[in-house]
Amino acid sequence: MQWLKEHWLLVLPMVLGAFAVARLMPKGEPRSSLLARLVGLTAIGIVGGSLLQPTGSVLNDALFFLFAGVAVLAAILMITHRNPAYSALWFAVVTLAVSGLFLLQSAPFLASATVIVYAGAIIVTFLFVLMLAQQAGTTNYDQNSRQPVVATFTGFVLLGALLFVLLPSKEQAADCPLTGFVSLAPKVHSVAQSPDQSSTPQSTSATTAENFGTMRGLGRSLFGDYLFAVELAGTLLLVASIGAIVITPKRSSGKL
Amino acid sequence: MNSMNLFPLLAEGSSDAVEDLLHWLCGLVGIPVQVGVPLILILVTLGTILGACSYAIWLERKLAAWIQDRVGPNRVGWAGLLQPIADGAKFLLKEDIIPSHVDKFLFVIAPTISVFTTMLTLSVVPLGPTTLGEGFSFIIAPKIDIGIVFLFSVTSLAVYGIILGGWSSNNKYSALGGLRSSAQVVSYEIPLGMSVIGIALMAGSLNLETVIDAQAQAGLFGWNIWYQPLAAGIFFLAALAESNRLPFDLPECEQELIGGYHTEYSALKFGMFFLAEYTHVFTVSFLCSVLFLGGWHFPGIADAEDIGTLATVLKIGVLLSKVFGVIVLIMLLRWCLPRFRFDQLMGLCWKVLIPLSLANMVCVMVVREFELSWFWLPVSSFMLLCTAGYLGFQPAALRARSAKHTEQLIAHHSH
Repeated sequence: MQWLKEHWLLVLPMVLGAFAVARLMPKGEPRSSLLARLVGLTAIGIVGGSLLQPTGSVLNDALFFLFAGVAVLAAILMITHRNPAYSALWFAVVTLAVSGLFLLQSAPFLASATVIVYAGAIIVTFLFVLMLAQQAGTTNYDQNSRQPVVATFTGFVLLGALLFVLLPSKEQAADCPLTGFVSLAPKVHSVAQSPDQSSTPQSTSATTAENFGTMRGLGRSLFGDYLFAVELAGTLLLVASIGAIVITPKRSSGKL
Repeated sequence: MNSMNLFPLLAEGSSDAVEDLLHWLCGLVGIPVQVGVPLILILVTLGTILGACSYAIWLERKLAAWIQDRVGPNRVGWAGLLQPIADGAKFLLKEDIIPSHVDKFLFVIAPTISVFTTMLTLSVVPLGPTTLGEGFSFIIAPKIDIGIVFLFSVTSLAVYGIILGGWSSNNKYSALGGLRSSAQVVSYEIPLGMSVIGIALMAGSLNLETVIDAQAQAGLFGWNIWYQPLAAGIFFLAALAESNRLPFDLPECEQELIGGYHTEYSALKFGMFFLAEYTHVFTVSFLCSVLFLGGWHFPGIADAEDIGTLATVLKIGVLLSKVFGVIVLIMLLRWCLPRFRFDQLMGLCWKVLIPLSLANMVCVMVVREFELSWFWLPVSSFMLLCTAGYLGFQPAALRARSAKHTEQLIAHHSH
């Protein structure tokens, strides 16, 4: 009970949000649930208003709340929309909004790559499949969600756990007024300000001040600090694509 | 005070009058230069593109007529010069039909997505002289570190206009056009990107200003087309396919699909698709000129060290002439080459362009890594092209047999 009293600002929007999303899931007849929409917006408002402290820069804050709000709303619309083509498009909006958030964190390459890979290729492929599959109109699978309550409950428990870990406690909040979130990444600024770090020739760190956020810095980081991880991921993708080619039916053997 | 700023405008050669003019205009309206100059550039670019698009259509019709031994448009104005204006008025005044069976929201938004994305790409394309230093660059958003990647990310969104237009029309021809387009554009993005990686490796940057600067400093024989002729060819072909121009216009393919993705569109919405296509052609031409043809550089006319009003005007002129040349080449190609079949289109991309661009990229990497002479780059391009040609002209039976052999090998291994 004591715990609930301390964390009601976290628990309340989770409960409200879960109720709203579960209610908005497509089920049977089309219906417009004004109540659920209002409750959902209230939940987003509570999270946005109470848990995220403004940084002080008006433009930064405005852009952050714009992108974050669009991302959350589009994500909810994506899972609650009855038409799968619209769901795919809302997914595209989510990736665009998240790319905007990346840009705010001075990661332009990550933002562009996300747009190219997700919005430009993956969602286009989704739409491609939907156009091929939906010649006869929408089916029962689109009209009814299978387990709306269980799925929503699981999703919001996960979301609540993430927020609980990421949100600062009272004493931590004083330390990092920048975003209101605890930074899980190693502190960039301390590295950048140590003078011997940039002068040593064997240093491959990307976090020196002049390279921060540039392609050069990113390349140094990826192929210096994280070389093995990058190579491993690349090999994995190569193996997966070779596997995909091998299991494709052969045209000459009459299976296609 | 503003009138005093006018004087340097007229003193030719002393300082850059174009830059002064832009600053003076900002002062006149009373907005800061950092906001004002991009705004003016956006307005000028937008106006020029809208005008140039309609006259590009006129040019294309005249060229088509010339190739086919006809007269072409000659009724409205002298030599049909007012024809574009008449066409524009027609787009505006015709009845705008939204068929009852379409998905209204997506149907309306699809052409705007097309126009928006193609216009957005122009924001990082150099439209005139550029400098790496403190000076003024004719780019709407200068000094973007990831220039080329940004371009590709925005171009990759352009396909939504076509797909959504095709899907929302609820018409089988439109749907087929949208399907074709999504497969085509997603495929051709790969050679497009890989052919530019070589350029980025040579210039050491993805920034288009740096790419121009590297070429301009090296003179006429520093243009990338001498070192990377193969990459230039691949880039040009892939860019043509991305902009859905003939011989790659399968998404609209009149003989089979009526109008493809824009079958159901009329009036201004159809005009917007048209505008997007021509804007895309302009962007492609600008990119070809900037990446491979030295941008605003031309020996003896516009060199890297020239500054001043005359140099600025000449550099803009040189860049625009190169762009015009590429546009005319694209238009001539349209009336010279027949359309591909769809399997040929996919085969060209996946079996020819992607392996070639990959091999070319590896060649550039080898040259850069071992610091060989750049002379090896054209040699390797030529050898790759000859190898591809040799493999392409192998008798079909031989290729079929080797493919069968490979399949048997795979089948053997899987048991």
